Amino acid sequence: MPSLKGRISRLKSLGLVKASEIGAGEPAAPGVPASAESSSPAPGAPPALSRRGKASPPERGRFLPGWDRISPYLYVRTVSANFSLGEAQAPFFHPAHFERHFLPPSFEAPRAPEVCVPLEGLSFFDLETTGLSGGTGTIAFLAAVGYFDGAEFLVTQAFIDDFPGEPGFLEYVSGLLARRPHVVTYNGAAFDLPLLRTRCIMNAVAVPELAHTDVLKAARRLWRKTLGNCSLQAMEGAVLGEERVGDIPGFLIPGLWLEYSASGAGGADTLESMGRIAQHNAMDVGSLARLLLRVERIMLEPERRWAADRVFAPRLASELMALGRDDEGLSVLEASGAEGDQDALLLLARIRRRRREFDAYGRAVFAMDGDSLLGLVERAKVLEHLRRDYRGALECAERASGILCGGGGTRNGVKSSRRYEALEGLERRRERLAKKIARVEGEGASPS
Amino acid sequence: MMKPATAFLDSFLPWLEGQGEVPWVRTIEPRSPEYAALPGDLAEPLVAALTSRGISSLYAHQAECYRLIREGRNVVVVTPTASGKTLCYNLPVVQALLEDPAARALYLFPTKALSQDQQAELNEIALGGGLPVKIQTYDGDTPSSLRTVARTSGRIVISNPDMLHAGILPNHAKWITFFSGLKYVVIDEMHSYRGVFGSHVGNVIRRLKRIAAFYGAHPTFILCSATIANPAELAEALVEEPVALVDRSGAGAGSKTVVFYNPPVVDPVQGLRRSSATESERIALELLRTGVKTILFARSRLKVELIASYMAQSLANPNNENGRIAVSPYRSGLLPTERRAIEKGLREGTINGVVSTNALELGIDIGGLDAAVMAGYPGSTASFWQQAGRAGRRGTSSVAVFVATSSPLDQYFARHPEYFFAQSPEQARVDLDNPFIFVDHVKCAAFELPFAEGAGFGDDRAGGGGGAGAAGGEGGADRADRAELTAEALALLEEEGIVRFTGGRWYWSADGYPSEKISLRSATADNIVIVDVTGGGGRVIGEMDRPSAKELIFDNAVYIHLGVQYIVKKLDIANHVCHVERREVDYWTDSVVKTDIEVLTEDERSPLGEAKEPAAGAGASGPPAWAKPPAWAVGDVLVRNQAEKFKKLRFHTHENIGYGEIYLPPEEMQTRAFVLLFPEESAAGSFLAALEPAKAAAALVGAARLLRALAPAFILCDPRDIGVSERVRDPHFGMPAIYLYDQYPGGTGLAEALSRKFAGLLAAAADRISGCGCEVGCPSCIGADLVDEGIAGGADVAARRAPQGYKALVADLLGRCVGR
Repeated sequence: MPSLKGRISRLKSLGLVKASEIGAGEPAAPGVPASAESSSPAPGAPPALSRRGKASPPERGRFLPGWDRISPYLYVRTVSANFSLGEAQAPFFHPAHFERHFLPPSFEAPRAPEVCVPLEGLSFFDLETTGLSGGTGTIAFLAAVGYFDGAEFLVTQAFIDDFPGEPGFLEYVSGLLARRPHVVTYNGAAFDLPLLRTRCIMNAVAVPELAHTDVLKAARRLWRKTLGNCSLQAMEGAVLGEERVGDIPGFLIPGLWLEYSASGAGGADTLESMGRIAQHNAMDVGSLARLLLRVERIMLEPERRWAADRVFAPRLASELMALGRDDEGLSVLEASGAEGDQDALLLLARIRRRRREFDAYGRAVFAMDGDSLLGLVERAKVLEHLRRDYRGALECAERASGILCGGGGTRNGVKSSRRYEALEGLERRRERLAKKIARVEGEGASPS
Repeated sequence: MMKPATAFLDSFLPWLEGQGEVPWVRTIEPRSPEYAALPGDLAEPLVAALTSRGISSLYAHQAECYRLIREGRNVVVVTPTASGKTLCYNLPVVQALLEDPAARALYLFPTKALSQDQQAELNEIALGGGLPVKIQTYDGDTPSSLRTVARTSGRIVISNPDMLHAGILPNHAKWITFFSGLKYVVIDEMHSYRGVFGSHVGNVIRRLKRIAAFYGAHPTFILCSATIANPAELAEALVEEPVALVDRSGAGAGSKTVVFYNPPVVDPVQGLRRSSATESERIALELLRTGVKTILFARSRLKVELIASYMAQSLANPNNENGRIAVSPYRSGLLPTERRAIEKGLREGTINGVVSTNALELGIDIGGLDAAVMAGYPGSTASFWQQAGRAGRRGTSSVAVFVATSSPLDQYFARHPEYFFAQSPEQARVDLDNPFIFVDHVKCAAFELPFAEGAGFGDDRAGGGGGAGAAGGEGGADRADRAELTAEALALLEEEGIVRFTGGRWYWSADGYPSEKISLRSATADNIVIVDVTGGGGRVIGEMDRPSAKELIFDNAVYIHLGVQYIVKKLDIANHVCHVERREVDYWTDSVVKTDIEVLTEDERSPLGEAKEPAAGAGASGPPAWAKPPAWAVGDVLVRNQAEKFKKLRFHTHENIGYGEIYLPPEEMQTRAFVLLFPEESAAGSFLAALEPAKAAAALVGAARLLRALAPAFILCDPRDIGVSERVRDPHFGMPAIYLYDQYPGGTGLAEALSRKFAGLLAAAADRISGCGCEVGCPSCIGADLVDEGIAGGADVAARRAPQGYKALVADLLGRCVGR
């Protein structure tokens, strides 16, 4: 039988085994004790034997000022965020404002619009982790739970400085969340909560049962079209009107913690970067709370707020109408349409037509850009069916075809993949109009 | 009862004999089925579901599987095609799932197409009887909305090893319900898990068991295989637990006639025969024209397309709707819908003929055909019988025609029908402890769950270890060895900063997702991208692994891609890119590769002159020295290949029109080798010692080539999986030696397999060369290209200048190896 012993170390000594490109981003820092400790065993000694005698690195036992060590590897602190509730702020919010009501249908039934949750029952929650690619090899090492204590906003943070602290960390964070079991997150549905669940399962810690509001979903609805980027930082800048200075870029965080956790007692600069990560984490939940309040306010006073907050009016209107608030929705559309918002006008036109409000329908259509593809198509419909102006309709349809075939004008609203389909539709319309024209003009001619 | 399908044979066989040589025809007698009653404990709805499909009793082997699996034993079942294999596992699994609502089962198939087929069949059982067993396919094509459903409520999840490796195991916490209830793991087409792929899959199974154990589950394994020499051994090597073997089929079968056809020799001096593809095409056409539904197997996608289109052209006749004969190609790379349409056409009879790669060899349901024509040996007897098994519906007779190529392997079979009709001779091997593969999977396993100190990867076996002892070279390691090997791997990963040892456990401590970068199927992830830069552009036209690139697309090489010629401008190994430019030239290039081998360890060595076999009748005193067989050794070697020069050869005439230099660093690989040794006291050794070195070298080169070409007859592998090198005087062993080494770094068990099979292999090689009718060597024995010029270089290069009586030298050497 071929011997197994030494097969790997023999290869290693020949330089033939390399643990491929994995982790190429962040190998242990040079000169850091961890790599020194694990350096090749003395010649002749089987490495496995030296491994057996090896002790785990000692616990560091201290962290930054202001943090308390409450169990091995686990540190916590509570800080006051630099903001509090205004006097006018109602002390509750409506979860329904954050659910998706409009198409496509949500898998879960939306919450009833009238349900209110007191703000002091909320945990604003965010995790920092060792990786962004998911899977069971990623752990959370830092959690922030923000909450309202009266008008004041406080943030409790828990941090572990090495892997063995994880079970204690999870127990602590779960206990914290259980006090205010409605969590508010930014992308928690896809990231933070599944990760928390996975870590609890893997460490035999009970998975907390939580109600959840993911503000990212509402943010995407309201701002994706107008802002493009819906990251929390983008929201801070564009909606809340703040810019972070000296913030640590999120993609660096996993590597910095891995380096810190491996660095034993030393490393003042890595310790300093842990402080910056903690600050980043606390700021995230503060912004999250403010953003929740902002969305809540927009949903409460849409006609007053939408323009100032750069909301995409058609989505806001759709949500309002799905909640039964038709007048407010239409009013937002009218106002946005008056500023030339083509999407708002198109939606307005469709709603008016569906409601058989044909005058308003016609007004909306004629408010649309008369040189745009969609404007022309809609005009052709109004002229044909409402005004029976077939020649006018034909002219609009022909111009629309011209735009589709590449002749100037704005082509917005039609994906290139649908171009052929759109052309076909126009072709049918033109044929029909030509027949109608022939018939009408034939009728006009027949008496003679 | 028996359809008179033999009627067409009465005219077909004489016709065939008129076309070329028919060295043998064998008829397998029909076999009547053995039945057993439905098990007494079968749930009522399941009985109803079976009855609705017209099943009121089982075949004996299905009943035996049911009994063993219900006892909680691991089972491997080996049965021919169309013997009701799927019921062997579906029945006990569905029964168990009906009894226990928490129970779950995982089905693994090597390909996605098979999974789809399986889900269709399972749905028929489950839905046909209205059984409350939810079946979900979970693979790369599963939409994300269905993935959640599969994870939480799939009772049977159908997937493949790649998905398990990269999708399921690294996210096991999402599968908590599934893993907690995991009761059965079904591994179908087990014989395809050999070599590199099998060694990876065995490690994925180790990870699966480790995760299942974490959730408190210890699944029973059910494996299914086509016929190989060592099914139980392979099964135990893969799952590392004792496995019961069920290998007697109770299914009936119609009679089958197997015909070996050797195309006529067109050039007796060079030993050239007519192309097996063209001959296969003519034979298939003849069969189709007489109304026989026929499948033709060809070895490449390109050949499949060509043959199918030639056949369609031959059949084209606007006057009679092509004789109402429809022929379709079938291969991977077709759209799934296209493939489904062809399968349906075959089942329903709207397509009479199909030309296929081995894509149709696996268990996809296409109904029965009457004849199978195989253009060349498909690589293993398992494949041979699977392809032959495509012809023959229950209760009717069928014919399978093997159309030989001029390869040594095919020509060997011309004289050895017993090869196919005795017990299957090929061993399938894996080496789960290949250091490279092992380290890769320790990495993935550390990502999935931290390793406790002293834990071994691969010792989570239910029985506590040792049971699989006999399987392969790896079984002998006990728990302590496993822990040590694992610690070695982890220490290595720690140095790379990928894991950390802290608090008594090894934690994954890197950003990233390791399984994403580890492919279970390809030998090396290190590919060179070939970019066409003609006219300043940059179009990617292909990829090649690094070791091959150094030998094929070096600077100034001619690279031919889909019939277009390119010249290599620059091979940039560091950046994994090769720039080529279109250019019409009248030559092609061939590199001269020098191979150095350094022996790192000798793990096993036969005592000199006392090799286990084949010296028949060796008494206590041993045979006389002149009759002693060669010795052998197995161990780790370092193989260094260096392409130093290349030849320019004119198209068609192969005339040498010049040389060029290659400036590339050597390619180094550590692997395992089987070494055939020729000590002077052996018959072959004394023969070599008496020859002048050039002649001895030539004899060794020829023998090595032939051994490599014939190896697939004894171990499941492709000739490309084995490298050969020979030494007239080996510096390590101090005698002549032939190295047969594993082409996969670290080895996949081929060297160990060779050490058990070399006697048969030597005998086959001796037989082939003595039975070859050519004069000076031909493609069917030792190759025809050796009568070529040489370039200064190693001994092997000198041997290219083939000496007088070259073929006779090789024949002599091999003859003495086997005591003739």
